[in-house]
Amino acid sequence: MTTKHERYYVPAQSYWPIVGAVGLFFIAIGLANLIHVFQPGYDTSLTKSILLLGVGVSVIIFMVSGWFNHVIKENMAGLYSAQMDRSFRQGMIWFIFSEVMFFAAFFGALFYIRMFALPWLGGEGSKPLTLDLLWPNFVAEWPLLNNPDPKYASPNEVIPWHGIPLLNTTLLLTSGATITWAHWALKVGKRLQLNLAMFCTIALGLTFLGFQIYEYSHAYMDLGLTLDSGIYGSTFFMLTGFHGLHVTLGSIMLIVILVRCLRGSFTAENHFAFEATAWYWHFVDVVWLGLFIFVYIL
Amino acid sequence: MSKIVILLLLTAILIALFAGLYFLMKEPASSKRTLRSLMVRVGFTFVLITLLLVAAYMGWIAPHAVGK
Amino acid sequence: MGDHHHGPAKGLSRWLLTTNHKDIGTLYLWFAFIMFLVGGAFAMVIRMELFQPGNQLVSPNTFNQLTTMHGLIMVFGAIMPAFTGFANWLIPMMVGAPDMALPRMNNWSFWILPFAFAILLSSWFMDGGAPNFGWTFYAPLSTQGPPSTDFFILSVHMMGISSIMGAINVIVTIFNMRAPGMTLMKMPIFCWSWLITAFLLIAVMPILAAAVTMLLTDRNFGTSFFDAAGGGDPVLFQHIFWFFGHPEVYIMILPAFGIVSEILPTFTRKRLFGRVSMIYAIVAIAGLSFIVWAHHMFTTGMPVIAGLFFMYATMLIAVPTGVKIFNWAATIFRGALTFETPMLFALGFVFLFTIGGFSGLMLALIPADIQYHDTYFVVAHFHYVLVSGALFSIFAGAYYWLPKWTGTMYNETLGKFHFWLSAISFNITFFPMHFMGLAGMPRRIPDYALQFADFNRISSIGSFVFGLSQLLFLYIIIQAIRGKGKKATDEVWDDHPRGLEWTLSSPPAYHTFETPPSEKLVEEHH
Repeated sequence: MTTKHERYYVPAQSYWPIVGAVGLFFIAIGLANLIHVFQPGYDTSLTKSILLLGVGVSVIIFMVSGWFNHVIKENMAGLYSAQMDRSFRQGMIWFIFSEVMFFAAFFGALFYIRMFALPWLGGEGSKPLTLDLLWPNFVAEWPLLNNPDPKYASPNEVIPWHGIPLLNTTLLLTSGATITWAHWALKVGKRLQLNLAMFCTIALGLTFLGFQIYEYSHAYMDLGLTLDSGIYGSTFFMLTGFHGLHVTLGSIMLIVILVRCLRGSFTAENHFAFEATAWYWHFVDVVWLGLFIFVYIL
Repeated sequence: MSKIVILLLLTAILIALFAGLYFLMKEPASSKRTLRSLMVRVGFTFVLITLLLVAAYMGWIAPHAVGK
Repeated sequence: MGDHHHGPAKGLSRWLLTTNHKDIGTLYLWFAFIMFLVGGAFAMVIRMELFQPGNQLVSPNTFNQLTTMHGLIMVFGAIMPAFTGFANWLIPMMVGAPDMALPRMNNWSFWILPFAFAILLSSWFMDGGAPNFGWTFYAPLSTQGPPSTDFFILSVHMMGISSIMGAINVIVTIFNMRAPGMTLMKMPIFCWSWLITAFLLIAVMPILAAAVTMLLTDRNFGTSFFDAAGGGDPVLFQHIFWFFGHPEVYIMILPAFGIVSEILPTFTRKRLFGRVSMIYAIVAIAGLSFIVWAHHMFTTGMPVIAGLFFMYATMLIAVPTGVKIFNWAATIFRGALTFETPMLFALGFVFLFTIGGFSGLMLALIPADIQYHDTYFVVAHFHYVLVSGALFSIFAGAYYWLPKWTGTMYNETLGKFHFWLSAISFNITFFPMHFMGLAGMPRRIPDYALQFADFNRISSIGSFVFGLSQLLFLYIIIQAIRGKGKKATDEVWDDHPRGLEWTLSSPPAYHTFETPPSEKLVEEHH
């Protein structure tokens, strides 16, 4: 076919979506079973759960790589119009919006706990009876190092903000600067600097993850700060954990982009994938900034 | 006082970040506006973290004392 | 790459692998109808149990499981997918697009649903039975719920993924795929209502995902988000849930507004009165939905000033909703009315939804709400907005566009029968619930005090008739799909219809608007 596709490209039938749905199905039942393995009172088989989960994850990996490959091939074949390009961009932006709302819920939970729930539990304002009737010895403070009920073992110490957290903040900020450097280098066509800056960004991101893992083990081993050590640990690990997950995702995306940079796939005019990934990295960095301020410092 | 400045800077960072997203969607690939907004956001972040360090060092903010 | 002019594939693969918005719309609608029958069957058992005082049929725990599953399935399995089905069928045809913007993702959005509901429904057969804490799954009921709760949580995650992707598709289609000349203000109002709905979905489904995630970790990993013993707060759950939940109820009613606003002008032979104000009203309702969530929690307790804020903000919603009701009334006023089935359902919607709106206004008043909370008055209220609101609009839309989709007129006599049976039995079922609630009968109980026996019996009888009437609907639809009936014209209802979908043949070709319609056509049918 020699005619250029001005019309919107409606793909033919595709088996990737149904594969993806099956993958999600296996992940969901595998995960639910796996969780039950570690709960008292269930006789769920560990092997079977891991098998189910493994099948699900493999199917999803197969689906994602296959689907992306398909899309890249279609793109190379010139099937996509400028309008199609806009669909992808807008789709991605609305996906980001949903991510923002997901983090907003956890931040909202943190603010609610700190500003309302804990002070009320401590008898503030019109709630003296709450204090007297529930846990009279409770003192509302943040970070919470004395849980109301001994059912939850309290953490011994707060994570100091000026140690690893500050280091990690610096690492991520620097990676924000290096990816901006890469971005600039791409725009002005300096390939060597682009690759170098991308490499630095990935290295910084991975170092961040390494320190984060170290900090978690420090919290578990030395500080007694765990997921089940009351609300301080719960909010801390949920917020930083989901952020860490996004750093991991971002790093994988950056590695893919670096490979494509090395192959010379991007030009000063055509580099949407680069810019989108770069933006995503900035987004992850800003979420960290919010965490640093609201979880570690204030 | 420092807290207000911190929040203002955080807001500015968010605005710059999402302006970048907007330009990413709307502007042609040759445009440098995405890059510029993201540069602004890195700049602001640098200022904010410096401010946090100074404020903590000078005792303007006591880490982990919000609402007290 | 395949040629653009392919028809549907043969056999099962057509449905499993399809990227066609019409096929996917059909899948959504059938899935919704099957779920409607499943959820309806649960409701029938509930009404049988409540037919007279005392334990009749099921154990109290099974009763709780039934109410929970009825709610979850009707909300996430019937109403939402039905509207998404309409969106899939209609939005590309209304804006003059060849398909949805991201057709493969569209297929994925749909096919996640059957798997998610397979997991949810399988919980009936698990140890401890299905979730039994109500569709709102308040902590600590849900943190202490049966083992199947974890399966329920992960199935909600899947539904969320499906809804978000579906909503992204709708929004991108509307922003990026409109035919030349179709400005946003010229776009059909159904598309407008779905644009806002899609925005709400993308904004609040992640909140629900976060809520169930915290629930999962509270149940299994010892976090204490919703446990005061660890410094958390069960009330936090309610805040997060209703921050999702209130926009969610508008997700279930805004597309209904859109459908009714399409239907009324056709059968009154007038333009929609106050079209622009209708659009602004939708936007205003959606905006307000984010700042009223705590009106579901007046008896939970909150600072007085917060209570006042949520009360007044809630009553403020009556203003844009009033705009809509009055505009519909003004559209009907002095129109050349005919009463085909879609019109009957649309009129039923306007009358009965308004009753639901008024009882909502009563519930918004804190002092009154403290009396009404968790009584059958609330059950009456939300069934007036969800059954005679959302569901009636779905029926109306189905009858309205069915001739376009199938090329065959449905049986008008049977359609009218379906309407009158539904409308009358609906009121017999739910109107007495107002009285039961005001007299103090609590919701979600398998047994009740003797003084409520008469009303409950009336209610149950009504519900059985309502349930059976829906089988008539199934029959009518199947007859139309099988081509048993008059051929529908391309315009179907009106010689000068508005909306691009009526410029297509009945039934439309498998792929329509592969090249966008001309600006002239867009202008003529605006």
